[in-house]
Amino acid sequence: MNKEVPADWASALLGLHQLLREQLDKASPGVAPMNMPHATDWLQTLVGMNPANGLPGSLGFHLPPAPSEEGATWESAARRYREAALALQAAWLKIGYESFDALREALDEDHAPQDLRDIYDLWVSCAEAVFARQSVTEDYADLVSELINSQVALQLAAGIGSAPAPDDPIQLKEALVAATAREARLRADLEALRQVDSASPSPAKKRASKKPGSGAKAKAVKKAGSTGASQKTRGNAAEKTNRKDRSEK
Amino acid sequence: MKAPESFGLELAELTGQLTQSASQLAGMGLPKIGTTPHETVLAGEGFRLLRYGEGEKRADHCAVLIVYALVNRPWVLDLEPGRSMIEGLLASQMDVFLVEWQDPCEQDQHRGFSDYACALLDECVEAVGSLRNENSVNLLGVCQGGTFSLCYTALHSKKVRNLITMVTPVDFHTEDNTLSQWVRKVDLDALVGCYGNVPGTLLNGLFVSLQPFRLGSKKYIDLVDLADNPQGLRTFARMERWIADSPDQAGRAFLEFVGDLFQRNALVRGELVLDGRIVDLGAIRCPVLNVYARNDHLVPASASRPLEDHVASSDYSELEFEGGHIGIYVSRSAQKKVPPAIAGWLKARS
Repeated sequence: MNKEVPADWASALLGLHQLLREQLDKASPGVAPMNMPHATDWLQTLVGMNPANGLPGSLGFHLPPAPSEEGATWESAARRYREAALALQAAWLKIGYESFDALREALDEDHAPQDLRDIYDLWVSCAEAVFARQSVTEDYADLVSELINSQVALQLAAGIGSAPAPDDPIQLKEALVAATAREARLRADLEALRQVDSASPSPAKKRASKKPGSGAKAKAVKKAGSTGASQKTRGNAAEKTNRKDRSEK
Repeated sequence: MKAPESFGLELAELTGQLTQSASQLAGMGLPKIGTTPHETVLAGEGFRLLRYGEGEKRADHCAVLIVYALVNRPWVLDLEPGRSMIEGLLASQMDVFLVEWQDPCEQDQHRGFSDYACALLDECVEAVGSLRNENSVNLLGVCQGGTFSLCYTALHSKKVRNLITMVTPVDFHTEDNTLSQWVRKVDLDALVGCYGNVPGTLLNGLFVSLQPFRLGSKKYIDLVDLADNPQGLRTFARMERWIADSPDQAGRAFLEFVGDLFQRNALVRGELVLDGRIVDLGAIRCPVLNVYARNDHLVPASASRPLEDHVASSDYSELEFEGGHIGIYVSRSAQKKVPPAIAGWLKARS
């Protein structure tokens, strides 16, 4: 990669962006719940590509503080989140570099734009094209989903929200014993049916017609058990959720 | 290229214009959206059914029930005079109804996909039929609401006379579906277990990050073009208000919709079960109009167009809009093309 990039216009764009971000922050001070790439981050990358400024270490990602004595769960969750964030940052940097390469090539063409605003538009166009190619790949999708999953894990470790309740091992064991017994009964029934069938086909047919009923019942019992566990989990989580009032109309 | 020192002058000029636009925006206050006259004809648990327009004559007009998505407000269909699909349908002599989903409260986190797509939607269909004294309705499902409408029609085929889907995902696993790729491995049990109802702001962040440069940057820089353009700034402010106002999602419905469709693609595989019944798109035999946007980054055309291969309707049509997911609602070209086409298609079959 050629690092001899004239960064003057990039610095100018960055200045414009920072002004914009200040204006937006004043208008909407809310904090986004998930860190995702922002155009300013890529511009900072570009400025960082100037040898005079050195390469940037990160893309403006606000990482949680290094874990200390909050406990093993928090420490593990925080480490996982940091790793997920850093992996995504690396992907962003790659996208940033590729988009600047594309921009540089476009600026070398005969009818390349001259004005700052047009250069900015060209940069957005190049960057969106690179991003569209990268973001749809399975590798990038894995990074995004891991960031979300690790953020949720971190929040749960920090006591925000409720973890899904693990299945009760005693209940699972009882269900397994019951299912094994049921399977044994059904196998015995089946064997009996086979023996009757070999002797006299018509009574076997009559008995066989009763089978779906017992099978359906067993299935219904299983489904009800699973729903109950799920509702319990979400019931705990309800305590952490605030109602968002409707302001519309 | 210009000499670098000239950028300083241009930057100063752009900064001045941007500051001017920002201060004009701040002075406007919160702009109203969704202003086309309407009344609430049914307030159910989790939704309101709205009817647009006034006067007795509307009962003589062809009716359409619009089913919007859960993930945003429906007001993008009625952004402002001149940029309103609802206004366009009224102008085409339609009797317009709209399902407005209500924000879920804590207790609603157990409300599921089938509650929305079957039970609540059925209440609306019954209400429209009763008000109009008709046995069946014309459904217009938009985005996720289109998927709901497909499921409903498959399960209640006699209650839907004509079906229109608009920017509706059907096959969730096409190659260019970035959003689907991103959520394929998200641990939904943990996410919903953590939040209960999934925060709208989280989804909003995800949607914006699908086009981070255009949506997170360029549209704001483009504000410099709107200095001293009050109408343009008002439209901008209305769009911003709509985009930022994302409702939370009922936890169970979110888990089921994303899990069954985005992760398992159950609808086109014939494996989606709602209300204890398999949703078979092949049961849809009524006329179908599938409206999609060629440059849709949220619901790619490739996700909508497979509908043709799954419904059994002998009267299937498509309408391609040359724009994106939002442009199909609010752009000037959409206003001229989409509502009249929908109204014409419906009237020809009513």
